[in-house]
Amino acid sequence: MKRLWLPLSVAFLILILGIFIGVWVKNWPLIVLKKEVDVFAGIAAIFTVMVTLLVAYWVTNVLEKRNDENRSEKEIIANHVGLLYLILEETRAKVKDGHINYSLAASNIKRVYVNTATIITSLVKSSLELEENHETLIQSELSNLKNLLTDTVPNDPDLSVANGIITVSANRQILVDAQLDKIRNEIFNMELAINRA
Amino acid sequence: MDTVTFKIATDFSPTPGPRYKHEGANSGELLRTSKFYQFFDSAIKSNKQIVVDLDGTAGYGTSFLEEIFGGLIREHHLDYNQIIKRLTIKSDEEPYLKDDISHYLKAAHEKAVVAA
Repeated sequence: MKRLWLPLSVAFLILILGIFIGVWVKNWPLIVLKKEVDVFAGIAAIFTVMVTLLVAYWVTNVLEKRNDENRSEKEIIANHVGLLYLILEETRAKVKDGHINYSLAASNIKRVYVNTATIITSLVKSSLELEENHETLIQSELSNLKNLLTDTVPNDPDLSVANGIITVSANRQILVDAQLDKIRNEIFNMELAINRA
Repeated sequence: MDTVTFKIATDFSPTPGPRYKHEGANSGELLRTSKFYQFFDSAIKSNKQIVVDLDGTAGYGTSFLEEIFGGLIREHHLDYNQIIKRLTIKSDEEPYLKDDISHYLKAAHEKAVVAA
């Protein structure tokens, strides 16, 4: 409310100044004005000026405020995207060591998906909808990762599980690495789209 | 028709494990043989609808889910159509798992048909 006082005071002063100038011009002997005043046209003119001032105020303040809010929300959401990269890198580090806990692998994949879904829901709630369906694109790549890491069959030379720990062959590590990059790229595309929204 | 619900997070474990018992704790094989088969068999025999609630766990590996659903047909020879007719999967956290499970059941059914 405090922010309203200054522009309203300035507008009021301009209005008063306008009335004074009008009276002064009207009484200036060098200018002959028609004495019959069209009251309706006068009120309409004042009304037009007031509406113009209000619209100008709305455009500069309300829209700017909305843009500021959207910017803040986008920053919060973008920070949340950082969590997805952390989870992926934790998974990459474990796989590079050749061993990863089965439940942890499954959990990390779920966390990336659930957090992505949360980000998309937050965007929709903030009226910041994205053109592409990033949730589905990321989910599809996550499913591929899940199959590479947790789809175990007996006597698989690339993937074996003992004591709840997955042992990943060098060949499978390469595939997992590439798949993690694909997911990173999809998340990066989403990040760019959020920035553009 | 009455409905029975099996929530994996509370009726089994919040951290599901690998496929087989010898691979680690909370395996799909353990769930299927200790609880899941009896649950499905009993529900089918008593003509009940089945809800399996997947939410609330840390996450599912591919082979865990394949083992608990595909294994019902592959190992226990439950009727595919009976399962499909009664089964509802609740998965608000990961909705795509519903399609995955449909695929596991169908694949196990098709293999069983070919084997027969």
